[in-house]
Amino acid sequence: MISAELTLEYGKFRANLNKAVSEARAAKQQMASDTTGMGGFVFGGGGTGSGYGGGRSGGRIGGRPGGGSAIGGISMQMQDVMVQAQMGTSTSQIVGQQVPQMLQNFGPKGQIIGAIIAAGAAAVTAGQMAKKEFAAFRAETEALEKSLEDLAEVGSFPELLEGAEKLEAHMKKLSAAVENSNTFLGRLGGAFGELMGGKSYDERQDEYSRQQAQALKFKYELQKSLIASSQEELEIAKAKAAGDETAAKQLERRRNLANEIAKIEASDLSRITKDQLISNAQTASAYAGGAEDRAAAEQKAKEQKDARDRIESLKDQTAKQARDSLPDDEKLGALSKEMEAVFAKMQREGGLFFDPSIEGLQKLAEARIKSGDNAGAEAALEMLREAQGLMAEMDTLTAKIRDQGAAAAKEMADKAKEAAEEVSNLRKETGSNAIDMMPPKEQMDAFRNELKAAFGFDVNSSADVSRGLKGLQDQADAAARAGDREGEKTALEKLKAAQESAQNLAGVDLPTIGNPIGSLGGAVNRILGRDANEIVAEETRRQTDVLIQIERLLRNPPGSRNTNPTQIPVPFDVFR
Amino acid sequence: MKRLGSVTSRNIDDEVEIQFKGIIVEAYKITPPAQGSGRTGRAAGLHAQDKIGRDLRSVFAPVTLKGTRVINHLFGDTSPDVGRQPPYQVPTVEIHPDVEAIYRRRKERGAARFRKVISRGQKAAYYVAAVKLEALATKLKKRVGWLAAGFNAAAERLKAPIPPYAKAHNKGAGTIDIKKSDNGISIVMTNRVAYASSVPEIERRLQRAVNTQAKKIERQLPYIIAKAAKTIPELKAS
Repeated sequence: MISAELTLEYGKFRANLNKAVSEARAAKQQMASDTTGMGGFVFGGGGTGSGYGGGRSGGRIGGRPGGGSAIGGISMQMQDVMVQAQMGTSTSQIVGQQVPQMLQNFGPKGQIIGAIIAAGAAAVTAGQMAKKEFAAFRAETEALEKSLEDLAEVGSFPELLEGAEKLEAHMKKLSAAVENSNTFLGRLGGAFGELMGGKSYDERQDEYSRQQAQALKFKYELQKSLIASSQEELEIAKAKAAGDETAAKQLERRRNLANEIAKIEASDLSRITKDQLISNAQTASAYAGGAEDRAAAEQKAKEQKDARDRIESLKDQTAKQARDSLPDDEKLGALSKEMEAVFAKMQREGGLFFDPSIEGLQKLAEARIKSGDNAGAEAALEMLREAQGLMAEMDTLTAKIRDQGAAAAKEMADKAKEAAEEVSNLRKETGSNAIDMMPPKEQMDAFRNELKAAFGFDVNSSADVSRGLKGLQDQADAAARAGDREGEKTALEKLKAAQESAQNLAGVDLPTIGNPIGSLGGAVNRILGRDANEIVAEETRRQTDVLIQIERLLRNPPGSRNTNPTQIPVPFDVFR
Repeated sequence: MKRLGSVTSRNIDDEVEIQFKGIIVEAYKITPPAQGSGRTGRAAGLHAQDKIGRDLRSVFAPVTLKGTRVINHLFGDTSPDVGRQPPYQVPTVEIHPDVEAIYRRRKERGAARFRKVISRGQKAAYYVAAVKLEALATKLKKRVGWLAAGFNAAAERLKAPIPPYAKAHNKGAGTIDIKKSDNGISIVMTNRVAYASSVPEIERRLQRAVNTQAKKIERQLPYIIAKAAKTIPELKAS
């Protein structure tokens, strides 16, 4: 089973038709009662013409025979207008479509006007009235806008109030004009007005919109000015109520002066003229104040100056205290900034072309003294004194910082030296400890390296050791002969270290060398009373043992497989 | 109000009824035998009937059943006189007595032409009595247009044209319901054939027809109302 349904509800259309009927009825009544305007023209109610179609000889209007058909055509158009309106067509569309059709009843445009005049002046009146009314309203609005513009700037309180009332009335008229222009008859009248050279509907609407916006703007400006003006009145009333007539008069004078200046500014005079007038007004106002006012003003100015000076002094004191509490380096920075501030002040107060330095201040002071500007010279000298004080303080602080720095640097250098010595000793100890903990082979290599560093050549035999030691001894003797105690001391230290290394290399725990060798050694031995030959033999024997041991080790390093006994030649080119 | 109502209702209702005829015409077009054939009117009906015949012939082969047959030898007869005696006349048995059942069965299975594999020399799948086959064909052909006849009631009421194949079934199995009131008009057309909605895409096409006609009405309405308004005295020129 299948079904198809079609439903239509025409309640809406019925409602529109009912509306069309009622509005058509009302419009017809209105137009019928309007005997001179559009209604009379359409429905034959009157007009200044002598009727329709027969108003002129010939009776032709726009090429149509008679003229009655033209009016009948208008009537039909009106009916179409009503129906179209209720079908939801916009008013502008209706007028745009129907009015030309109406006018077509009278032929081409050039003939329309003539035909309308011939037919009766009602249509002319409607159009002319629409055009004139709009033009007059526009002129009135422009004049009001101009006056309100001036009023917002210079008006007194009563004037502002009056202006606000006028503006309110104008805005109401404007709303009414806008509303009327959008009614059906208003639109038709406007259309005829346009035909007679007036503004089109859109142009009129634009103008109305502009006027409405402008009116709102003026309303806001006037309200602002009213509030400001009433505030001034309030201040004056308060002063009077407090019994301070002087203050009240001053306020009034100030207000009047401000209004006068605003009026001068709003005028069309040249800038120079305005400035002169304003200056004159201000002077006149000052004179109008009288001597008492002047004295009061001077007293007030003096009090203000004293207060400013006290404030400056307090500021300086607090700044100085804050500066003194800073560490020396920061204090130096603060002093430097104060110095810069003094020079900046110098340049601001007329010293722009002078060098921002103490010499520049001196020159500025001299220049002012020369030119007779005693006050300026005093100010410059004051600044100079301040700058010199700051400079002295900075110098003292700088010296102090320098001395502190030097002491600290010396202390640090001493500490560094001590640390270096400790490090060196530690290195030696750790070096020797390290060597002690090495295996025999590595120990031997370490001792050989020490001897190599001391002698400057590699040690491969006991002969090398002897030769090296002899060389160091020669150095010490040469330094002693040259009187270089430091050099002798250094050489002997090296010799001592080399001998220790040689002993270590030998692995012989020999007593320390109590008998110095060389010429010094000989001298000491003689002092001790020992026989020289005996000393030499003993020493030779001892040194030979050391060398033999060294030779043995070098030929058969520890850990080597060669266990054969080695014949070691005894070196005879040993120590002296 | 009443006067307005009568003026308005008469014009608009007429218009709606006129436009509804378009829906009925479209409904005939989208139901068999017009649907798919591209033919309308009498040609569609004839084409449908021809198709029925072709379909039957592709499955059935008509045979004139005599009821007996002559044989010379009976099965199992071993007498020496076989072949010398006059032939025997024995009755025959109809193999496919129920032609319509075969037709229905094959239709239910949904075969397009319900073909059976036929052996060489065979003309059709089933040999059936010609009389019975003819009777079936007649019956089937008579039913052409039955579905379309479901719209006859609406067509008759609104004076829409009815195709000949549908007219043969008189009012058919359908109804129309027209309701008029002050607020509007409603027309409902129903086709009560059980398998009406099984026609491919009938719902969609019918809906499209309704929409098309509804738009036509909407376009006509302003002119109808304007025309009606001019008859109202208050809106007449003085």
